[in-house]
Amino acid sequence: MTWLKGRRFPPYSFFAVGALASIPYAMQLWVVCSAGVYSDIYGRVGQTSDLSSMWFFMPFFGLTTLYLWRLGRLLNKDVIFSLACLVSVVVISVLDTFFKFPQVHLVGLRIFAFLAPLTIICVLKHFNFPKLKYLNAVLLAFILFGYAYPGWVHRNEYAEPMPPEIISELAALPDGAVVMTDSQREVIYISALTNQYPYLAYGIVSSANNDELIRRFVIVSRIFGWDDAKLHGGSWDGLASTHHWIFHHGAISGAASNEAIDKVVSTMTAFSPCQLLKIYEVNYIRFGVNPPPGLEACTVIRSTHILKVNH
Amino acid sequence: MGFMRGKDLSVLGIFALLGLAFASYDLILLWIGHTHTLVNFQVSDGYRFDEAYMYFAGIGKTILYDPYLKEHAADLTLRPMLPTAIFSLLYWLCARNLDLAIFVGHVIAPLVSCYLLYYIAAQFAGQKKLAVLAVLLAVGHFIFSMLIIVSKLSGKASGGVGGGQIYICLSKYFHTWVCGEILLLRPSLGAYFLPHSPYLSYYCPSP
Repeated sequence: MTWLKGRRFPPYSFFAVGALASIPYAMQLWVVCSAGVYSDIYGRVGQTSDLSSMWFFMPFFGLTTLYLWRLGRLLNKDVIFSLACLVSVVVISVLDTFFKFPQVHLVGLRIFAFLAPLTIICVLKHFNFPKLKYLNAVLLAFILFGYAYPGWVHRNEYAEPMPPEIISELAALPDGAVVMTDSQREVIYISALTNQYPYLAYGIVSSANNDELIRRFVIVSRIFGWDDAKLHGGSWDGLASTHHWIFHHGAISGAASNEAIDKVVSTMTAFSPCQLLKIYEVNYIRFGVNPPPGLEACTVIRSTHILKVNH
Repeated sequence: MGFMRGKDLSVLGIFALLGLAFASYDLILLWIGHTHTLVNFQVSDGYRFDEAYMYFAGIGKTILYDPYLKEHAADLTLRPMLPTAIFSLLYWLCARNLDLAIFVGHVIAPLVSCYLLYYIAAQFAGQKKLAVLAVLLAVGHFIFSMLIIVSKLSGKASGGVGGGQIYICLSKYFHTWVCGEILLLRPSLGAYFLPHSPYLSYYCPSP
């Protein structure tokens, strides 16, 4: 703020700190790039232009900048701030146009959504609002309601992530084991709260390439006897579809996603269930009432809902 | 501590109420909902629907969510490094109690964001009421309400998000004509210290 008030250029240490903060991300990008599936991974993220709200922030900051400039006819700190927001939006949009800037959510939603209120008050301070405290009180009441009400709506959705017996069976498996399940909640549970690893992976945080992600889903669909619709983006436990798990925002066309899936399916039709289990490491299979058919030769029952895979 | 320096208890009270708002979601779940854990498994977007499980639950696991990496013995995860470090610190400070860490992350991190916003807004506005207004507009995601209204009027996509607390309240009880794309917000660790709320939880039925 001192820099803005004095309209001075920030000290070089400011930029040095910014550069240092980027090092962890640069390292991560380098490691991901060296893994060889960079394009797949960043393709899943999607592009800013696909879903972002950048189009909205450009005229928004343009109008606030213009209004503030007309008020003062000079570059005061309000104008500089609003102009900086506008320039940032424009730069990101230009970068997106030429380089297909990734990450659709973070830019517009998570940054400018919080900078915009600051430009709003820069404009509003030129008006007289004698009842502002009442407006604030109303907004605060809305916010209280807006957070409490969702809690009320979802109050029973956290009661049990899974049946307790399944949790105890999974917890009894050895650390580091790979567990195949076709329950979306269990994939998440195994990933997050156990020391095992789920057979299926979520594309947005997986370093596997698209082909491998699809292949894993095709294998699971064959083992558990999914219908075509479920594998091809239909309802999967009423939660995110396979399209979203594999491609996230990177393949927004359902037809394109299904085409990629079908291409993999066609290469695996000749495999028996036991052969499918040999493609990627899997140590245990979680099943419902009855074990999936065709696995008798390569698995043994370990517990009520768990098969052990023989290698 | 700008507002403390001025002994302005009204601003402090507003921050206390904001803290209560951030905490209300988890408190309702814990007291009324017979909640097993604050980690949400009704996931439609695992990465940011409730980031808590990404950042907290993976602690102690070298590789989270990725059998590919395990098989290929690569010590690599796509978790962002700085948020992971921040949330790992919170987790350890909460004695590795996952639910407590999530609760603290839901309440304290947004409050820190609110204070930073208040401080910056006070510099711009020069008066506390407008600074408080900036904080409330940010927390209430007021800009999303504007976004969805403008998007409806102009026929442009709203980017998969819309609403904000104000819009949600209006839509809920007045079933406004723009209803159909709003997303119910709820507290989360969100993006670093921003009072961001994940979305993708509840779609308002179109009228």
